[in-house]
Amino acid sequence: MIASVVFPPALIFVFGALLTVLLRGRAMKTAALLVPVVGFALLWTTADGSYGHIPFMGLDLVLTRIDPLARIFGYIFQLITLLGLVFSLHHNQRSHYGVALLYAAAAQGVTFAGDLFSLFLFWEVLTVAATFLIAAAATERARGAALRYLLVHIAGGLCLLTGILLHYAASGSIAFNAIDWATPGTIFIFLGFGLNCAWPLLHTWLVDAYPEAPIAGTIFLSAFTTKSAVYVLARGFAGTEALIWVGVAMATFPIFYALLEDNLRRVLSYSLISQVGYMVVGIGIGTQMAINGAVCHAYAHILYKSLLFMAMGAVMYRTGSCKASELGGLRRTMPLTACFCLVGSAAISAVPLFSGFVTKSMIMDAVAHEHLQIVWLVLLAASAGTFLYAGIKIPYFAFFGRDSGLRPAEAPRHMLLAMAGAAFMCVLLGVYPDFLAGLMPYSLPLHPYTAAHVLTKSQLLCFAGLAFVLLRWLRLWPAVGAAVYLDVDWFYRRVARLFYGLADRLLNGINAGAEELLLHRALPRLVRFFEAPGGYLQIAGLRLLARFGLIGRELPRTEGMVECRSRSGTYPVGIGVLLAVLYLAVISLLFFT
Amino acid sequence: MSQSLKNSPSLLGKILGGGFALLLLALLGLELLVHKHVTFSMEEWFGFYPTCGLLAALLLVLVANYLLRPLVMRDEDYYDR
Amino acid sequence: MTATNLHLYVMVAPLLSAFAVNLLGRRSRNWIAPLALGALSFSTLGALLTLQRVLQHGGYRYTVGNWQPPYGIELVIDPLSALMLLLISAVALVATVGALKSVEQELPGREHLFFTLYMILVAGLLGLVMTGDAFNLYVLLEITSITTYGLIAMGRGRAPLASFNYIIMGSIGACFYLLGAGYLYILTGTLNMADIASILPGLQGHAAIATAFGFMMVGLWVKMAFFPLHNWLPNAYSLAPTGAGIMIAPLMTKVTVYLMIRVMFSIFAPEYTFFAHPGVQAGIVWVASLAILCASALALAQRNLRRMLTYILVAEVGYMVGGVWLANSTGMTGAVLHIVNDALMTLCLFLAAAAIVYRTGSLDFDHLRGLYRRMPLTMAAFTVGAFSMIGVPPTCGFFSKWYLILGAVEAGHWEFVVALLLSSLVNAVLFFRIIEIAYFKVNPQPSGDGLLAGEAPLWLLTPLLTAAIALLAVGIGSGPLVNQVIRLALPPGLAP
Repeated sequence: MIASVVFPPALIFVFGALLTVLLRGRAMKTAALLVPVVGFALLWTTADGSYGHIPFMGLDLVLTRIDPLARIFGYIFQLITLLGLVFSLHHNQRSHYGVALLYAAAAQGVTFAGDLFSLFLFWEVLTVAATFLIAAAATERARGAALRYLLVHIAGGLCLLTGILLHYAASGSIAFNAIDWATPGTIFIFLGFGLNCAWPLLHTWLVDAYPEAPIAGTIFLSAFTTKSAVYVLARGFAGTEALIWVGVAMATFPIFYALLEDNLRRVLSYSLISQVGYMVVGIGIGTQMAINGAVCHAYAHILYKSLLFMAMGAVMYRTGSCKASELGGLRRTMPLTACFCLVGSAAISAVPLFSGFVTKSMIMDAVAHEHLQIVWLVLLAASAGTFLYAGIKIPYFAFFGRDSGLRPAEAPRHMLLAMAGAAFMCVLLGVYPDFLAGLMPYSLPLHPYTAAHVLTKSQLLCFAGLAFVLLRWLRLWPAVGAAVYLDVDWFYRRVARLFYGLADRLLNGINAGAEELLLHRALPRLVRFFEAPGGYLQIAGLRLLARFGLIGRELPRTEGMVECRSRSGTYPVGIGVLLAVLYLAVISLLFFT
Repeated sequence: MSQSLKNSPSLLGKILGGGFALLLLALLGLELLVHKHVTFSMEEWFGFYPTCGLLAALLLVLVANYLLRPLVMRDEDYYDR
Repeated sequence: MTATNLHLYVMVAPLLSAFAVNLLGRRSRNWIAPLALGALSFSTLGALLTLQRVLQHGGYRYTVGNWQPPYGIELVIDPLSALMLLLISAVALVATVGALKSVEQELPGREHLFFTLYMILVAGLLGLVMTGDAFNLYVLLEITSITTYGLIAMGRGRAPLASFNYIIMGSIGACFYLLGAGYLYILTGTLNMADIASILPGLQGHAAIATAFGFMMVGLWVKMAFFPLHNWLPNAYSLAPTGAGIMIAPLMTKVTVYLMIRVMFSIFAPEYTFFAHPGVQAGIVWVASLAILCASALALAQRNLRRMLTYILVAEVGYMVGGVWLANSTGMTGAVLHIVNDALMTLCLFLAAAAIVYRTGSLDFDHLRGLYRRMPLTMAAFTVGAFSMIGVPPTCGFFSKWYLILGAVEAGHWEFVVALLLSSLVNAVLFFRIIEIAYFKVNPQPSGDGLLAGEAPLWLLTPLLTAAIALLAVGIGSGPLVNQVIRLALPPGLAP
């Protein structure tokens, strides 16, 4: 019966968000927690199919399309919403719950959208909600990061919109299925998806914004934007070979940064990119085995990544810092948090009996099956690297290692509860792989626990651990210390400023293109020029005339007058009239020819 | 017993270190017993995975520390100036 | 009063109330609100019924005073003009609610004068969208312009100077239009639009027709502030009294765009407009793209909220002119939809500005700090308006942009696509700067600048929230709006 009246899952979350805005205190928190539960119940009882067909503006919208691929993402998004909300129960502002639920709603909407138009609608809501979530931290850095996040994602959204419009104009259909590379506009859709997926060179927004977001907000951020991008890539571009190499790059380069970075949440952000790289490789391969692997890895990753962010969040909540240089030895007073952190680290490192082991091996098997030797080797090396920064560095520098003297209290109960839930899932998926087997989009046999597999994996990990011990002993491990490590965003944060100054001196008034992607930094300079562009141009003209000796001593006074006029916008009206007449003359000329 | 372990870190360190070394040797030893289902020929080499893990880890850290770090490391307030 | 001349009463009601406001308002202020609101409510209702009638039975013509054309004045009520009637009266009604409060603060003692001009302006606008006579159009255009000049001059500071500049530019524009109409009269011997349209195709003398068309176009472009003829607008609209700005800004430029459409399609035929002079059509789309980019860039430089909005208004004019000149029905749909959407967006944003200035006395960016805490509802509505300007679904701004971009893609005018996309990005920067200042920068002096900084009064808040809700409602209802109303309103003869 429910199946015949299917609400788009997104709408349930939107209603939930509205509800939380209206309620207060306990009632609000209870309502918020109930929303993902209700959503889950509805999804569980609904059969596969497409619902919610709405003709709109001549387009055929499909609001809810449920099939195994979408379903698994729907479930994990709902689960993480619940865990994230439990983790954030210490927040008392309604706005937090409302925005988080809206964000979750948008993620659900993107997952179940059956056409590109509704996809775009929810995509934009993702951007807006995430921006507010980041900015809620109310620090100067968070606001800057939120603004940059917004601009980058609006640009990405416009790229996606261009692609969708071109696609629609050419093919006349707005349905969202595997996208044919032959139709125009596909490259724009591809790039638009890729930006949200944090591909290399399009990734800096992630490491910029996620560490600055509030601790509860990061849980949601880490799950929704990138994984819904993974979903749409899996739906639209499965089997695109370029993705394999994009994924390989994504899996490796963040490792270097993760090893150097001091801020542990930033390490986790780079780690996120790395793990998504594995998923992108799987999508690129496109076989059933590979897609299964990518999707299951997304499922497991959401859980263990949020577990790690939760642990770091709890540390930050209690100590006010998440920097390796300032932490250490916290296991003494935060034993449970340390424990959960270790579970998360084990999961991400693909230690046997944890979720990462099962899912990562699916992808590696798919790679091996296709005989992609280089890819396989690189990913293997990346696994070793992952163990170093996620399996060892994070727990070691936060909870073990040198004693920083900090003795913070254990994390509050709701945080422990959320972490326990996530940790439980990480272990469950590891020891009972059939759980995932039931959710996978394609039913293929799943046997990760062969003696050989366990052995080889353990060897890889343990000897990587040996490397860590050796490097520490030889004092070759990167020293900890607060610093900024430049990434690709240097280009639009610094270089563009120099470039702009040069162009400004050349009186090039319209630097619209790249400049419009800038903000705070370059804007004041831009603003200064445009306060009186006409004035600057006129002054240049006057100076030119003066050089030819046509204007003499009145030059400074004239310049002053021009500048004053231009700034206050009071040009003599004669100039406007002259322009009008000139315009008329031009038009008439055009008409006469 | 546990009390003395905590109070003498060097003893704890030695026990952990020794255990770890044993583990590494055991893993190498097991390789002789377990049959690997290989897809690539290089997997058959003895100690392939251990070498891979060790070398990869060493390489990654050294490249990060000595190649990338000098290039991109800046003061904390670099972007705020 | 029957169903057949309801539309006339739609226009007459504000006109009559103008007189009443002047006479009775002198005695006591309390007469003004009921008179103005009553008349506009009547107009809105009448416009709604007219629209309904037109959609059911098709358009019709009405001769005023039963003097037959071509000597008498004819009113044309087709789906497009009925839609505009409803838009103008509804927007005017909502704006007036806010204007009443604002004028009470800014022009105490002179409200009756203000609202006299105001109601005549509304009447003029309503008449403009209905008229079917080329000269009558000029008369009504001048009526609306003169009242606007007067309203703007009532502002403070340099407002009279701004109004003076506007008088000169506006008169030039109107004169150009008149010259164009004069040429047409000489050529065809009639002033009735339908008559001219039927006679023109058979005429020789291309030069004269071209001149007439050129004059009329440029005249209208001056009046709608199409870049680069826009210089008068920022000063005029930002220095006007707040109450005047609330109504003028959403409506004047849009009605002028409507007039341009009328001239292009009801007097001249689409074949003539777009294809008789090669290069003009493409050239104008290029100029429109330039207009959008330059106006957006100029908006970046502003440090005052209202001035920034006026530059955005200039960019929006570029959207509409470009959309119309794309010469396909998708672009035209986008342009007409954008007339509706932009009127609503501008209304919402100017009302928000009015609410802010009522409470804090200034619209400089520095004075906007911490506004989200002090005026949460106002800023919420402002945020909705901002999203609509940026083009975030499901607000209405997104849907008109969708059509405009699609139309540009179909027509192959990639410069227009680029301009639209860049403008969205610039709008995002513009509005998020403000939202950031208002949301995050905590006001150092919690007591504000002398005035008690609480939420805006109900008279300003209600229309503001209505406008914000309308943005969402119209957005979600874009489908039916386009299919049932706008498709019928498109001029025939356009390429699909």
